[in-house]
Amino acid sequence: MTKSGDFVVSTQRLAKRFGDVAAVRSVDLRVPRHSIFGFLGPNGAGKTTTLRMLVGLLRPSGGTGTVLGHDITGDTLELRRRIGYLPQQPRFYPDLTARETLRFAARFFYRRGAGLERRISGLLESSDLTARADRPVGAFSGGERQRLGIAQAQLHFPDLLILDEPAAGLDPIGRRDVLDLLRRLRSETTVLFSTHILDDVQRVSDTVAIITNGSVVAHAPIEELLAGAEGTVYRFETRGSTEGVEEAVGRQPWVRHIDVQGQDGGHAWTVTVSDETAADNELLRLVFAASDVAVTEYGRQRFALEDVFLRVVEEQPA
Amino acid sequence: MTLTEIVPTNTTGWRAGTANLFAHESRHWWRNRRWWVQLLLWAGVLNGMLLGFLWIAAQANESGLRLEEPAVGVAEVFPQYLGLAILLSTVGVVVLTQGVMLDERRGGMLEWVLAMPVSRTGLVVAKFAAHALPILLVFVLVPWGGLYWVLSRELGSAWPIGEFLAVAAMVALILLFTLALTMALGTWTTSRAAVVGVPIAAGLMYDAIHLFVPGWAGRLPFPWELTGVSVQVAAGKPPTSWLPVVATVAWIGVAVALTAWRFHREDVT
Repeated sequence: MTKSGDFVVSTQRLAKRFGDVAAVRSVDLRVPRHSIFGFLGPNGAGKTTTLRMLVGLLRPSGGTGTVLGHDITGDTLELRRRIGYLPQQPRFYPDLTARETLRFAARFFYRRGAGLERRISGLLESSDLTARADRPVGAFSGGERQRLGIAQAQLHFPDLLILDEPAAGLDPIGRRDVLDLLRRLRSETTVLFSTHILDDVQRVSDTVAIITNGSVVAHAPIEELLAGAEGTVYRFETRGSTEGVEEAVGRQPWVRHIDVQGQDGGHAWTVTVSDETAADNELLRLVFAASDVAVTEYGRQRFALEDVFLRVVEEQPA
Repeated sequence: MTLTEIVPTNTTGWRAGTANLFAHESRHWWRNRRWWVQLLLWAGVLNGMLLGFLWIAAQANESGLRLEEPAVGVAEVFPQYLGLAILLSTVGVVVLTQGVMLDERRGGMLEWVLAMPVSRTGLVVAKFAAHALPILLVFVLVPWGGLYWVLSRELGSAWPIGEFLAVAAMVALILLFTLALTMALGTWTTSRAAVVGVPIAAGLMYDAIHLFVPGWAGRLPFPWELTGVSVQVAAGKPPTSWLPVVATVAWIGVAVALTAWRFHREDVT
């Protein structure tokens, strides 16, 4: 059981309209403390608009929400002291160097001092920007700007990091580094990040919300999402006679659905169950009850997040 | 690295982040050669123009030509020069400050800056202050020091300092109002043409208002009346009314407040 106080972000029916256009219709989010929360959705689904409302850059047209206990519909100044934010495609002042950019951002939180300069140098180093630290940001590549953006977002040791597409524009090594960073930050802070790169979410997130057409259509721990909403699915292949086995398995109260297809002298089984423990204990025993059957492959099916995402998104009316 | 090695700031309310933003915005003037290039440019333009007016008047006098409004000496030339000097300075301020709000809104940097603990009112105040000081230096303090020297040399004795300072102060007010108006327009619209065109057109066309309210010249509570009032003072006459001076100070406050008000309602997209 998770208590409401364990959520660093909590919204109820959050909505945003721009004139006649409903960018966000109804978003209910619960982001657990010290989690890595993946906010997924197709382009134009409302991810960035939602994140901007959480940061206080946009006023919600409807609904309510709190971030770190602060009401996002009111003055968000104190809230912004405690969050780090990476905008989608971050834009910095092109005439400032990377070091000056971090110094400028840091002075909103801290006074000048040797400790602050050490913190800035440390962030430049961990972002692999030391060699470029004193060059104008205007000459930076997209990946370098992204790394600088992530560095400035963590500068003040925020309680919540909100990252809008943090891996966008990065090469595979840069992406890997960002995901490693998110994992490392888990013990220090909570990370809420949006993306449409499903593999990234599957690799690092604990909890996932899927938004489409401005509404959240799925919200669950990732294990729960990947297990599939209709139950756990076991897939296995057998060789030899399985006479009577299909009926015996189908009679079990924990079996929801069974499908057996014959192929190349063998059989491919798909068994959907409602009780994993019972299935783990009983399923193979029932199959081996037939004397001359051999099991050549056996496993519990893990959905890829892509399967879940496509199913959830495509189920929604356009 | 731990938090104890770094000292947090503790400003709250509208002052949150304002000092940092003021220093940051000031870099547009002081971190490059812009300030001294503009200083030399405007000192040269404003003083050169006065010398030109004096030369034309001297030529006219020597050749026996009479201008429509005879400008026989420096005391007559200075008021005539003033109207054009104010108009040119207004154009200069608009051109130099047109992007103060507009560029940041268009450039996408606002999303990043406003996600930090920054007061939006503080951001507007910081930008106004950061540009007001160099504008006063570039358009008034240094060039008008030169003007005083030219006027005194032509007169053969020290120009009346009280009148001169009063005129310079009124010019400073007009330019500060122009800055505030340009910033306000940069918050209310994304059209650069409007941001540049409205303040300049207002300065050029304002006098037409006196056709509709004859007899009210110099008495209306609008900043553009200050040109006429300053010409009166430069000519050694008492102003028709001090109301335009008081009104301009109030309009500067109103323009800055309107900018902050609008900016608070800005959806950063």
